[in-house]
Amino acid sequence: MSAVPKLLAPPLVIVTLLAGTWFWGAVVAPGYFSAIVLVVAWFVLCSVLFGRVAKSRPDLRWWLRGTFLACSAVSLGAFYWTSVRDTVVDEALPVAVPASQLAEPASGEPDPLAPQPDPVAERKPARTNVIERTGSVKPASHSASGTARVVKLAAGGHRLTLSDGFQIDPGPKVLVYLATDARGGTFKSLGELKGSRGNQQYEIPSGVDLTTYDTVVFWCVPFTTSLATARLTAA
Amino acid sequence: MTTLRRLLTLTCLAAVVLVIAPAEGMAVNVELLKGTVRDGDGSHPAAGRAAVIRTDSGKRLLTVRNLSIRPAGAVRVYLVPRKVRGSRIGKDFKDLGKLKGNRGNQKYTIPRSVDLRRYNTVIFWCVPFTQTLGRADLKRS
Repeated sequence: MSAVPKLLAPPLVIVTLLAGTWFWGAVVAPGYFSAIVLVVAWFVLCSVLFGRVAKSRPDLRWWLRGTFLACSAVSLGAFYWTSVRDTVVDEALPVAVPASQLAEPASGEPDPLAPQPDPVAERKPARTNVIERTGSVKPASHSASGTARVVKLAAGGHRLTLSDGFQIDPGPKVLVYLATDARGGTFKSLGELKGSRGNQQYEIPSGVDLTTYDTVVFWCVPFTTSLATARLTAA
Repeated sequence: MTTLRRLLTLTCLAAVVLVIAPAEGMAVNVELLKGTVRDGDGSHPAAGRAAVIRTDSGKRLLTVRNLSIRPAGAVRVYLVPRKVRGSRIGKDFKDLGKLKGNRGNQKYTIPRSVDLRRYNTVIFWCVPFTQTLGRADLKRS
C-alpha cells in the first residue's frame, strides 16, 4: 500500500478520540462521573475498533496502536493534572465588619452594592483637542476662502489651523498675523505663510490674549497690504 | 485663674476631639454580602464561605475562605443573577477571573461597573465541561 494512508492514520486516530471525548464528555454527559464513564467507554470502544482495522490492515497496526497508546497516556496525564491534583492557595484576606453592625449610612451615601463611579475618570478632564475659536477667511484685496480655527491641544498650547479648502492669492513674503483689528495695526506674528493653498497650522505663542487678538491677517510685507482676514469668534 | 480654667477647658476639649474623631471617621473594611459555598448542580461536592467586602479604600473584593471544590481545568469565577441554575448560564454573567485554586483562601477584585444587587450569586464555572462546580448565594450581612 502507499505511504499516504499510513501517515493519515495517526491524525485520524487523534481526531476520532478527541471528537468522541468532547461529544461524550461535554455534550452528552450530564454530570461529572457520567462524563468520566462515557469517555473511558469511548476509549475502550475505539481500541476495539482500531484493533479490527489493524487485523484487516496489518501494515497499519503499529501506527494505530502507537497513536492510540500515546493519546491515552496524554489524556490520563491531562486528567490527572487538571482534575485530580489539588491546587491550594492561601491568600491574606481582609478582616471586615458586617455591614449590619455599622451605624445606618447617611441617606445621601451611594449604595455600595450598586455600580461604583470611577473616581479617576471623573477627576480627569477629557483628553481631546478642543476647537475654541473659528472664523471664515474673507478676501481683503484679493480672492480668498477657507476657515481659520484656534485649537486648544489636549497636551497643552494653542494652534491656528487653516483648512476647509483654504486658499489665498499667492504673493511675495506673506506673514500670518494675529491682530487686534483687520487693518493689522497691533499684531503678533505667527510666521511666514507656509503655502497659498491647503491645510496648514501655526503655533500660537503662549500669553497671546485671543479675546483681544481676535483677527487673523494675511499680510503682504512688500506691498504693505492685507490679502485676507478672518475674524475669530468663540466656537 | 481665668486663664488657667480656660486652658483646662481647652485641653479637655482637645482630648475629647482626639478620642472621638478617629472613631467617627475611621475607615474600616465592611462585609456587604456573605454566603456559603455549596453544591451547584447535585453532582459536585463543594464547601467554603464567600463574602463581598468593601475595603477602606473603597475597592470591592470577593473573598472565599476554606474553599473546597473538585479540581478541574479552566475554572472561572463568575457573578450571576440568582435565578441562574445548573449548566444554563447564557451570557449574563460577570467574569472575576480564573479560579486561583480549588482549595484554600482567595480573593478576587469586583469591577466597579458590577451591580451586586443583580449579580448576587457566585458560581465556579468549568468552561470546557460547561458545569457549575459550586455556588454561593450571597445575602446582606
